[in-house]
Amino acid sequence: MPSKDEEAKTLAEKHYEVETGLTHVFRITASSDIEVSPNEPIKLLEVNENTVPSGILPIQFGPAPAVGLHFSSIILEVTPDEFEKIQADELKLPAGWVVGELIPRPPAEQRQ
Amino acid sequence: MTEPADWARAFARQADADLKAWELYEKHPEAVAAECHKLLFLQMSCEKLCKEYLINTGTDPRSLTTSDGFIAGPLPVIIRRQIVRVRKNLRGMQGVLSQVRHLANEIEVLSPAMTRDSQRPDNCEYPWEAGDRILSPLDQSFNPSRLCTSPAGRTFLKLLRGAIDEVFEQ
Repeated sequence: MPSKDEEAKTLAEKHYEVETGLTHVFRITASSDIEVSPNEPIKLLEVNENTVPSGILPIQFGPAPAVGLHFSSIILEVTPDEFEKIQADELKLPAGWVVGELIPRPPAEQRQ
Repeated sequence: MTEPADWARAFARQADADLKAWELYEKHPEAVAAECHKLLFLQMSCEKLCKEYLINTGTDPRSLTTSDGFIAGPLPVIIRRQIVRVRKNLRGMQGVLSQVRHLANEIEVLSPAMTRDSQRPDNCEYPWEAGDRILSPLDQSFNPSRLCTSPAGRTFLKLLRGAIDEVFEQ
């Protein structure tokens, strides 16, 4: 079974593969004592040029181990403008959430 | 005292029933008076599914029971989850997802409350004013009907059914 970090990267890469407008995917992290729990979902902040502005509307999905999704996940999709507002602290993430590392779009030759 | 999980379950049941009504009308077109009625069920199903997910992620259910919208943003994310869940090979899915985003926008404006700053008064429920004429949903053809018959649209409908079914599997 992959680690939560590995699965977060795989999930982000799949999203890059199917989304032409996806410019950045960041991990969102809570405090380290919360993040170590396997029950704490993978949280991804996705900046998508093709989405509509709708503020902070995270969406949670349960695990689906039969298809390789071992962890719950929460996706927060925002427009580039909304992302700028998050960076400027004009748009607030849920309490305790912090924008973490960028998961870069994989090079084209690595995509299947 | 009601719990958010109870609300989420109720929204999911409603989404399922609304989509079943759409599916029945697909099989028995003679049973529906006009295209707008059928589309109303598709719009309501999508909206309730999106709200079910939002409630499960912490949105106050009471803020969602009397509000419209909530389709154009969340629905493509929910459908993409289904794509990742059911497709090992994602080739060809970019086009489907692109179409889903367009469809989600068009389904959202089927609600009379979603007029996009009066630019899209067309809806499935009430007549609206267009210049010096009153137009009725009964006489209109709506984009989602056409989009849902395309290959990507048919895939969307299967994925929507899968997304609703997945809620009950968990």
